[in-house]
Amino acid sequence: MSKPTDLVQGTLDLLILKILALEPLHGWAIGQRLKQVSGETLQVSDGSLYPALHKLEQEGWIKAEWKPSENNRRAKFYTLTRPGRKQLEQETANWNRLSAAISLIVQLKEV
Amino acid sequence: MGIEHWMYTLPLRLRSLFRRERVEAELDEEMRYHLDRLIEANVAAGMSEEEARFAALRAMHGLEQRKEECRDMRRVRVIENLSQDFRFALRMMMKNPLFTVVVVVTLALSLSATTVVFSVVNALLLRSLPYNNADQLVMLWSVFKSNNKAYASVANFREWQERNNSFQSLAACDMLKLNLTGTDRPEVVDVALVSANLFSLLGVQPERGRSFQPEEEQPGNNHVVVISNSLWQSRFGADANVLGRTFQLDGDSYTVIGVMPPGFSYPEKIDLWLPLSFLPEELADRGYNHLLVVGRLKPGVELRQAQAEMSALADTQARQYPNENAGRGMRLLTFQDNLVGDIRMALWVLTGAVFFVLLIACANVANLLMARATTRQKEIAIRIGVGASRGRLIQQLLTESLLLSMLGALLGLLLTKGGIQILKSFGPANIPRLNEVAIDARVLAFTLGVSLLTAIIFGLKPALQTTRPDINEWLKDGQRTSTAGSGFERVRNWLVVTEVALALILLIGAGLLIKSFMRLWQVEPGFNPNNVLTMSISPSPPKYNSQADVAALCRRLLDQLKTTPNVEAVGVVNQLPFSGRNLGLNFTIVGQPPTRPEDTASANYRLISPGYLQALTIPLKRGRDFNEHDTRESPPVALINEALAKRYFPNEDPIGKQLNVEGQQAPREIIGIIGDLKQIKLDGEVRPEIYVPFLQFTVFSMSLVVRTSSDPSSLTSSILQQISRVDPDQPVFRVKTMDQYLGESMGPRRLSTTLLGAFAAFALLLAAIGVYSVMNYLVSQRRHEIGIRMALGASQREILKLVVGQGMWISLLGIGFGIAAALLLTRIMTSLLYGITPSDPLTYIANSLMLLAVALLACLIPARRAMSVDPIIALRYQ
Repeated sequence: MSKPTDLVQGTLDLLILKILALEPLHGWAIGQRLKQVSGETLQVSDGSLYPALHKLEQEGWIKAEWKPSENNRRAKFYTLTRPGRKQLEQETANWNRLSAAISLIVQLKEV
Repeated sequence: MGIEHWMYTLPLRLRSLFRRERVEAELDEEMRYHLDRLIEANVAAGMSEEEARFAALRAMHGLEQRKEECRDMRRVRVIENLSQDFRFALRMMMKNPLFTVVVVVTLALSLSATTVVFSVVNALLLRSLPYNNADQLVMLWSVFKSNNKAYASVANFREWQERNNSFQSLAACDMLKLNLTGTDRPEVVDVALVSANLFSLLGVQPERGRSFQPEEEQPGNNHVVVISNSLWQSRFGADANVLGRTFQLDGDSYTVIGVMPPGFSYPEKIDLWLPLSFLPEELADRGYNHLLVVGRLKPGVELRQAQAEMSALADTQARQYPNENAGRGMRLLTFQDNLVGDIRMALWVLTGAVFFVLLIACANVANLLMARATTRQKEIAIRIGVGASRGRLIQQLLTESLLLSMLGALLGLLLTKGGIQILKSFGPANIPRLNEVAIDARVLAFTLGVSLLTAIIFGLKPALQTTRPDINEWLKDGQRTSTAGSGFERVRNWLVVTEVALALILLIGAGLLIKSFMRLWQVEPGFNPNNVLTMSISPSPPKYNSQADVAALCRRLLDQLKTTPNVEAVGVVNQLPFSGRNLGLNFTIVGQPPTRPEDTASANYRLISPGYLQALTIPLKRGRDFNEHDTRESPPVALINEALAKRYFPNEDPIGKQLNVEGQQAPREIIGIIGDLKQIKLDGEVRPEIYVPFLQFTVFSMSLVVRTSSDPSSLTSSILQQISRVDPDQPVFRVKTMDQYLGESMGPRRLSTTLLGAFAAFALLLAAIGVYSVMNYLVSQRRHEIGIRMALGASQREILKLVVGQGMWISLLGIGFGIAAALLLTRIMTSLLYGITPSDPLTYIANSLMLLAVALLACLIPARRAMSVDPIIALRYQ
């Protein structure tokens, strides 16, 4: 099994924020959504998701709430906060700048 | 980070700290939820239940580590660890109550000594004076001959006012005592005559009413008075309608226009202020120097610039008016410097001393911690073995130190409170601002800072030593304690060497001060101060209107007191020795006019009655004393002291020569020579003196000197009774024995000597404890070795030599370093010493021997224990 592509430092935060911007989700669902959307390209290990979530929560970018989940057990749902939305905008802009720059370099013609 | 950020995060932090169990449970539940969903998914994919669980756990990459990572995200780790460490430290302290008590008491005593000294430094040197922009306030002293704090004359002052560019304004004061009447009882009050602008210059306004107007400086308009808050309370019962009330001062009536705020008193302890006014003929006077001049610098003007400008001005005046101003210079001092000038050095020496005490205490505590660390080494080695990080362990050990020093600081602050009380009630009254010493925010911050620092100083080395990485060696070593301790032993020995050295520096410093103090007490003041009672009167109009009236009153008082039982001799004088007051006048010798004006001689000037010399037992060396026939009608006469005779009549007989004294018409004939006496302080110089019979020249303020045959204080009431028999309305003030005056002049020196002595004694005790604890530890570590030695036939004597030898070696090393350091450091205190050099060999030898003797004693107890080691038990113990 090939190792999933290591995520660029801080990119996981961006992905989580983006996914939560669409709707509040719990940890398991976030993991599933990541796999679903990126189609196995971006695999986040089950374990590393939670420290990231807790970090974002402690930063005040997302907030948590216990609610019944789809299997009727209660789960910890995360929602984007207002500072979180600002952070998402900022990180998205950063990402676009970075990826644009990288693709420019990658597309340089070899002589 | 805005407020919104904290709105989300602060509750989380608090929750992590105070709802820890709840947060943990939620973490648990969240992870379990994920795990269960993962297992479900795996089962759905066709795995067996067991396989599915195993795969899920593997996918998490270590469930517990993940949880730990989540906990790390909470950002309260530091606090959590700290509270854990504190709980642990508390448990450790309770487990070793004796250790805790010894450490905390040692720290408390040394921290409180440090804090007391700092609070004095704070009040006297750091806290600014209670005036607006106090750093702009400057005293302007005229410098004349050896007197570098001489007063100024009216004409000089007025020129300074007009011709300077450095000051916003200048003001002058003159102080005197007046008899206050017109309220319930007659009383002598301390009065300051001040320029109308003095209060605004200082930036202090009356609490009630107003201060003086410029036109109130005019003679005739000047019968207005501003009273102090304490006089308002004591004499006027804090009457709200005091403004406009009148009372009599020396028979003249004055109207109250203002009451100053509580605590305000300037230039010294003053009861009331009057406008300073000059008669037209006084305005040009340069001969009588009686004004204290203060100024407020313009913003941005440095003291140096002002000093340069005023010195130049003084030089100009000296050239312009050589007769009065030749030899006069100018000295500018900030209020702060002016106030604490003399005791600043003593304060810094004491500050240094308490820090030494604190260092010794730190060394001692470090020593105790190390001794305990050896017993805890196994615990710590195991912790390191199971993966505790060194940093985390050091943090925990330092937390213990911190807790100890905080407890010490807390107890120390309580002791400080008491210490300051004692200082205030027993401290000499002539130390300025001593009553303002208090524990304020700055002192608290200081104590906190110092105790933090202390914790690091005494805690860091033991912590580093205990957790050093090669600790695993120790585990292998098993219980063979003696080798593991060797690193500790070296450090501990050096700690004790340091303690001994520091203690010796303090002992030598204190020894030098004590010796100076004793030398000073042995200085003969030139008179016998024992059994002498003194008191002052200030006869005033309307009852006493002329010099003749005052002289007559004094005569009647003398006659009355002479017949009082137990009185051996009585006399009067204008200024008592050691009263802090001294009048000096210029004189010339008839027939030997000075070639240059600046050669004008000056001498202390005293008006005395016949009997004054006997009352103070001042020896008459040659010629005759004054008698009842030296009056206004007889030829003017004078006595001089030996210093004047030696200096101005080196090769001739002064008796029969004549002196012209400043401000007097007729020359005075010298009729006798008396012994030299000190007038200001015991370590002061002897100045030339001229004595004049009070019947020929009198002032309105005189002091009575009564020599008694028994304890003078027991005769006070009967003597005061005799005085009131002569004039019942005449208030008497400053009733004091001559011994008291002498004692007060030694007050600041006595205080610094006592304090340094106490610090040195404490340091000696701490050093002794240090030596004892190290030797005691050594003996218990070497029990086994001593047992073997004894089994092999070593005598008790040899064992004694072994232990004591080691202790003495450490002490001698410390003494060596101590002497070297003391030779360097005591030089700083040269100005505090009297009649002794800072390297006085006897002081060094005596203190070194004393320290050695104490160290020997501290060694003997462990040595006795070593001698009583039973070889069989010691060997079996292994």
